Amino acid sequence: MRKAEETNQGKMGAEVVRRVVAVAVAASMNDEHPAESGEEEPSNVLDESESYAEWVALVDRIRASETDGMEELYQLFSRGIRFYLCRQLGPQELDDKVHDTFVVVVQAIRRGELREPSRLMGFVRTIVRRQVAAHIDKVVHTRRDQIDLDSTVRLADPEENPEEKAIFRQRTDLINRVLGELSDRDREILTRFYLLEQPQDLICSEMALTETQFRLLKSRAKARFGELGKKKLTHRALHTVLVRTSAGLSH
Amino acid sequence: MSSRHPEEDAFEDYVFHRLSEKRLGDFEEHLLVCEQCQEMLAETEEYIRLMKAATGAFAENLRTTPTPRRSDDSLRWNTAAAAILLLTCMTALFSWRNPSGDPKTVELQAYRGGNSSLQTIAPAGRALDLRLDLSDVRPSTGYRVEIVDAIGHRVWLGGTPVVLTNGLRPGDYWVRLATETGEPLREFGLRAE
Repeated sequence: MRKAEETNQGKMGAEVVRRVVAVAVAASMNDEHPAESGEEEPSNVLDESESYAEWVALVDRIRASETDGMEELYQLFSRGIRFYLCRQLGPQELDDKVHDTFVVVVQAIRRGELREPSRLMGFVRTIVRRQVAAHIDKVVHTRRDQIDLDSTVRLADPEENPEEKAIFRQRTDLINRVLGELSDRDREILTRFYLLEQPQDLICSEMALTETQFRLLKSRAKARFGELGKKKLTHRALHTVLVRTSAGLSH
Repeated sequence: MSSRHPEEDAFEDYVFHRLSEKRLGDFEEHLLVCEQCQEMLAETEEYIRLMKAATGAFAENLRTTPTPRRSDDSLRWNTAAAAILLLTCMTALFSWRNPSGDPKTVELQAYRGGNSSLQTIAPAGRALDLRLDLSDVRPSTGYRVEIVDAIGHRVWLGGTPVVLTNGLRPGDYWVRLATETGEPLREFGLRAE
């Protein structure tokens, strides 16, 4: 298991270096054509002096085009940027979008547009949000300009993962069990919050609940769901062991 | 680098778009660098999706299950009468507090030959009950529906039935239909005006 982990880490490290080099090349080629940069948001985060020093050092290394600085920046933010972009734009061409975003960030830092290194996270966030908005704007305009634009876009029906579908169905069954164990009133409360998306204060005022009662109900339901999920996993594991054992004995 | 993890409620508030601008900024900045919170957010979204599907099924069952007739029992009849009276009062109260009234049913149709309209129009600011055209869509035990505005911000996420109690602000929207596991199936254009 340790060898596999080390092999994976080695592969990840090689991939990081490859991307960092690609970003460095792209950033130096694009210096003549500055991309849209981010603005800094007002400083409103409680910074520890250690974090401040780390950010300052990192930003200095990036400005000096040091590869290890860009590597650290990539390792720090690439997963979060990927998560955010995937959530907003979907998984299509995600690697390219992450790469493009990273190039914009590095270029902007190297041009000195990050005036407060302690605001690096806010700076990156602003750039990522602008990238998302720009992409959506492009898609919307492309769709509007297309001839014979449908009011619907039929997307290719992708192959479904049967395992994922089965897992989702199981989890839905568990939730149904949790709801079945509740009183009608408690079920109504959860229906208002999750299905009808009513805010907590409205539900509490209309159903004469305190905030504590409301939060307790939600966390109880969630905890019960977790309990049932664990029991199911334990039961399944035990069942698997028993089946294997009996299969072994029969030979 | 350190940043405090958000409170548990903040994750639900984020999914439901209820965070203030300041809290939203802090939350998303933290999310950029915290793998643990990314996983927590993914779990929260999944849990909300499951709860929507399950509570939707319960609500649907309540609507369609006929109330069994009871034998002559004065106490039961009195209780039923009291419940009906209470429900009537609550409905009236809710209608007073929610001027938009009953949800307006809006049919989102797939494009058919000869229909040149690009988008379905719905009244803004009014509760909506969106009925999606599921013809030729692969049958499933449940679907996931996401509504985004013109710049891609999610304004609603859930399963079917799609009931928007607060309605939509004026603008253009995309209503995206996906499988339970999130694979996209169909998209509809909707304009609220």
